[in-house]
Formats: sequence, C-alpha cells, structure tokens
Amino acid sequence: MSKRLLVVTLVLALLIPLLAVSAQDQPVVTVTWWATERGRDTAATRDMHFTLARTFEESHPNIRVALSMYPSRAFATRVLTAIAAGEGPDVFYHYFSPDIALQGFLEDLTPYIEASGAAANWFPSGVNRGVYDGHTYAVPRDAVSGFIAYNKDLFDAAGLPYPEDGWTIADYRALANQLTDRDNDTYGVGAIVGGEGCMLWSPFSFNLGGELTSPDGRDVVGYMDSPETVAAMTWCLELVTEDQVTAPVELQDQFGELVFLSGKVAMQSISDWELAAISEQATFNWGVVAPPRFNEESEVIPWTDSYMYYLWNGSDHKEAAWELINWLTGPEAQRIAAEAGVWSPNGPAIWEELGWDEDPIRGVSYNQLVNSERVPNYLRSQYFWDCVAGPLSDVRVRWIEGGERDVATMMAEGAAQAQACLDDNYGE
Amino acid sequence: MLANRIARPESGALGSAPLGKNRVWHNVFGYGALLIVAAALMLPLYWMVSTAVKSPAQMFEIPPAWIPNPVDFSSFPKVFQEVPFGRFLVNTIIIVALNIVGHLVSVTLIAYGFARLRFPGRSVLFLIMLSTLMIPYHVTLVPRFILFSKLGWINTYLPLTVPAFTGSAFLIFLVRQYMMSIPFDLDEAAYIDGASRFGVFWRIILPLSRPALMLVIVFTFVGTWNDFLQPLIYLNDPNMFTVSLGLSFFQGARETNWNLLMAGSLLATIPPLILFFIAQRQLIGGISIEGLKG
Repeated sequence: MSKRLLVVTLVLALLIPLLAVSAQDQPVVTVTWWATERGRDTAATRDMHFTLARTFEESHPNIRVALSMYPSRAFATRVLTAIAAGEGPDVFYHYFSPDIALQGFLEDLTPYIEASGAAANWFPSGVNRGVYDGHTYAVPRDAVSGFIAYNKDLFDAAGLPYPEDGWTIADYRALANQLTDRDNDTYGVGAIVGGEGCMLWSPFSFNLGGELTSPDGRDVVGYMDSPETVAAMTWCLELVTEDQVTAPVELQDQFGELVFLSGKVAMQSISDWELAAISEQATFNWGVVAPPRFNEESEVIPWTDSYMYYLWNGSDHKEAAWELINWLTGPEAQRIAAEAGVWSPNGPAIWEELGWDEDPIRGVSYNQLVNSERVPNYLRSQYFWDCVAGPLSDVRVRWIEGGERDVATMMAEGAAQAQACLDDNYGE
Repeated sequence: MLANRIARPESGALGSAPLGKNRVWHNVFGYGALLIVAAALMLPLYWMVSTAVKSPAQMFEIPPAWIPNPVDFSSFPKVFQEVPFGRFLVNTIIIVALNIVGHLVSVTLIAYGFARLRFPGRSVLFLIMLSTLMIPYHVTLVPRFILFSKLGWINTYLPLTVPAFTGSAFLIFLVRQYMMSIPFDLDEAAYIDGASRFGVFWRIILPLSRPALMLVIVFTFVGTWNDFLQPLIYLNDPNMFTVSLGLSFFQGARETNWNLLMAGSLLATIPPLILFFIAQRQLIGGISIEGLKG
C-alpha cells in the first residue's frame, strides 16, 4: 500500500510541473475588442473599459485584449468596413438589430451560451433581444428600462400629487394639461412623447396598445396602419397641437434629458441611460415613476433595452473571444461597470448586490426589468431606421406643419412606403 | 507705373462732395443687408462660443439664454482632461503638414506635366484622371482598406499621408488650369537660355503659380483638418486619433456633452482661422485668378 502511494506520489510530482509547463507554453492569443465612447464622462468611460480589459487578462493569462474605443457616431462604419475587408474585431458591442445576422458576419452564440448557462443570470428581455430565427447572435452588455421622470417642484407649485405606480395614460394626459403654463414657458410633457418618438424609445410605444412592425420586423402593413396604432399615434400628436402640453419642438432633443433639465418640463419619458446626466445636473427636486398603463384594467408593459456584444464569425480566436464576452457579461465585469457608473448591470444579481432594487430611483427601473420579456418589435429589423422611421416622422410633419388630421390615411400611406422599402431590402 | 498713368481725381472730388440722397439710401440698405447676412452667418459661431462658456444649468434654459451669465470657462480645461486633446492637435498638425508637403510636391509636378509638356495620350490621361473625381469615395473605401491592410499600414499614419504624395485629381486640375494661363514665351525664353524642363518648372512656373499653390495649401489644410472618415477607418489607437475624431468622443449615441463639444470645436477652429488670416490675400487672389482664367 505504501509502495503504491509512493509511486502515485512520484508520478504526480513529475506530472504537476509538466502540466504547469505545458499550461505556460500555451500560446498567448490576442483578442480585439472594439467599444464606443458614450458622450459623457469620457475619461471615466475609457478608464473603465481598460480596467475591464486588464482585469480580464489577469484571470486569463493566455488571452491578451487589444481594446480600441471609437466615437459611437460612426462606429458601425468602422466595424462594417473592417469586417468587409476581413479585418473585423473579434468582439464588439453595438446597438444592432439581431436580424443583422442575415448579413452573415455574426457568430451564432447559441452553443456557447447553452454550454455556459450564462443566460440564466441575465434579465429575460436582454436574452430575447439577441435572438433571431431561434438562434442567439448577441448577448446583453447592460440593461435599461423606460420610465417617467417628473419635476417635483412643478408638481408642488401646481398643488398636484406626484404620480404613482398604476396610473393610466388618461391620468398622464390630465396631469400634463394641469401642469402646462405656456405663459411661463412651463410644459407638462417634454421630448419623445408628442410625435413619432412617442411610438419609439419609450414605454408609451407598448402601453398605448399599438405596434409599428410585425414581431420579426419585416412587415409594417397591418401594424403601423392598424386601428390601435392609428389611435396611439393620434393620442401622441394631439398632445402637441390640441392639448399643447409639449415643450417646443426646437427644444426637444432625441432622448429628452436636456429639455427636462431646463426645469420647465413636468414629466419626461427617460431611461437609465439618461439618469447620470439628470442626477448630476438637475437643479430641482425630481423623482421617477413606472410608466402609465393603458387603462384601469390593463397591466403596465415595461419597455427595456440594452447594448449587445457580438462575436465576428471571421475571428481566428473564437473560443478566446467567447471567453472575453462571457466574462464581460458576467458578475465581475458587470460590477466594475456599475460601480464606475458607466452602465447598469445586465442581470438582477448585481442590482440586488448594490442595493439598486431598493433605491427609490433605480428600484423603479429594476421592477420594470425583472417583469419584462418583451423586446420592442421595431428593434427587430436592421432596416427599421432606413425604411420605417422616415414615413412615421412624415406623419408628424403632415399633422403639425401641414394641418392634416386624417391619421389613418397618413399611416396607411406611410406603411405602404415603408413596406416597399423593407421588401426591397429583404429581397422579398 | 500704371498707377502713375491713372489721373488722380481733383482733391475733394469724391471725398468732400456731399453724397446724393439716393447714394446714402443705397449705402444704408446695402450695408444693412450685408450686416443682416453677416449676422445670420455668424449665428452658429456665436452659439458655439456661448454654449462653450455656459454653465450646464444655463445650457438647458427655456427660453434659451443667448448671453451666458455667468461666463464659465471651465469647459476648456475639461476638454483636455476628458480626452488627450493636445495629443490630438499634435497628431492632426503632423498629418496636415505631411499632406501639404505631399500635395505641393505631387500636384505641382503632375499639373506641370499636363499643362506645359506635350506627349502622346496627354488628353486621354487627363480625362481619365478627371473621371476619378466622379467615383464616390465610399465606393473605394473597402478596397483601399484591404490594400492598406495588406501593406500592414492599418493603425499607422501612412494611409493618411502617403496618398497625398500621389496627387489629388481636383487639385491637379486646379493647378494645371492656372499653369496653362502662364505665357509659353517664358518657357521658350528659359529653354533658349539653357534651362532644363525641371529648371523651367522650378525657376519659372512654380514661382508664378504661388496663388494656386496657396489654394492647394488651404484646401489640403481644411480637408485634412476636418477629415473624420479616414482617421476613423485606419486608426485603432486612440492616442493616434485626430481632432475631428477626438471631438466625436463628446457625442454619444445616447448622450452628448454639449459644453465640451462646443469648447473643443471652438479650439479646433482656431488653427484654420489663423491660416485663413495669414493666407487670405493670396487666397482671395488665387480664387479670383482661377475664376477669371479657369
């Protein structure tokens, strides 16, 4: 017995250094990771990305990360040019639609995800966001939801109670009217709501009951011109011209934090992405509340979104690239990003660990995220912005500037135009 | 000499004579209209300056605050803290300088060939060169990227500078037209005196082409200084980025840091402005000559 033990010990003693040597001899591979700046806290964002890369390298000594950061403005051009030339990044994140997989340069991540079981850690809508045609081509970098920020000072001055969870779009409209005082340049509603933005980028797009495209993003006829969507769009446009409760259009920026920060807007549809700017720069008291539901009988439908990580299928180091993606979407990297204030975590565990689920501001978003599985249909099509957004915007222009009021006809014309463009792009 | 031959007006003929009523109104309306147009053109510049020196709270005011109060200069140092803006400036100056040298060397030599030398196929070659102006840049984007990638030039300044040494169709056309307007008698006189073709180019044509060369410098400077796409495509290392690329760091998909963007943009306009003030006499002269003789 003791002889056997001695032999085993000797063999192990010989093997362990050999294994260690062979591990050291594994070639070091370099994975390229391309990321974008976010427009604010530029240095902090850049430092956080490099912290992520270096932290990953410490725990993965055989993988080196070559990180490049670009302006988000032209990131797609940079990535697509490099991919077309066969020099694409192994890993990149962006705001692509999942059906960009049709173009054939995204790696199908389904087997990697199934093997790792990582999806169980992410918010369900983030998982669904990367699925196209039953396959997962992208995984969530972060997670945000849409909610309503409100100016407490304006509510107090008007003697109105703050909005609470469970309110309806009728309550929202009534409050917007009560809080508007155009003589003093004070408005009930800010950017996004009151135009085509009402149907995009905000929880109103769901809670008004309309849809712009089919679930696969390829059809607009029957969706954009449906009676429900026509009614929803009419509701949005009436806020501008009939109720006149929206801030002047020239003061509206796309995502709304600027006009809300003026202190002259009572309610503004925002998401976690705008929270940092509002937290730092608001000169008034403010709060947030879940979006209004359609009516007393309906449930509120959360609107969520996220940036996604992609793996280029031309990568020479797919396993190493997946290692990086898996780590970046895992708890350690998510905690680093959240603590740096750069983006909010892609799964509930870190939110809870940081106490955000109990936070009066973040908690509202957390409740939306854990209760949402739905991905906005309009985010399903890579051609949405080229084909559908324009005709939808035309409806607003015709209503506001042209004085036309037949929304059903305008939406039907827009849908036909958008459908022709989609069919052309999808080769149908 | 010419000035001496022009009869001077009698003293007071223009200066002291009372202006007619029509002329006064003509001047009032003329200068008034010019002032309005100038103000309209200056408005974006004014907005850029005022936003750069506004506090964040002022930036969001409704109605918009036209005059910053208080004036806040903190955005300017922040530009340098948030991004290596000084490095971006140096990088851009290096690229601009190399492009100017490259264009001056290549464009003048090629233009000289097309303007002054006679050789078979000259017109066809010139037409082929001109036709390249009609190819949209984006069509050649990927092939150029592949070419430079195969040469191992990605993430270097070579793709941003070496092409300048092979000419620019537009600038060649511009300089060639100017050189064609110089009398051939000068060349012939120089040849009789024993000058070589390069000697004629170097001693006769080039010095007489100064206004056109100034245009080459200004167009190259402005084009390279503002170029966003090429540095974006060919550079990976942020420390090698240029000003136009670096400024875009303040403009995110979701958020834009307007104070820093405007402060950075203001800083970025200073070098082209300096160049314009230095070169404006030559530049205006060059443009007017091109307009007359082109």
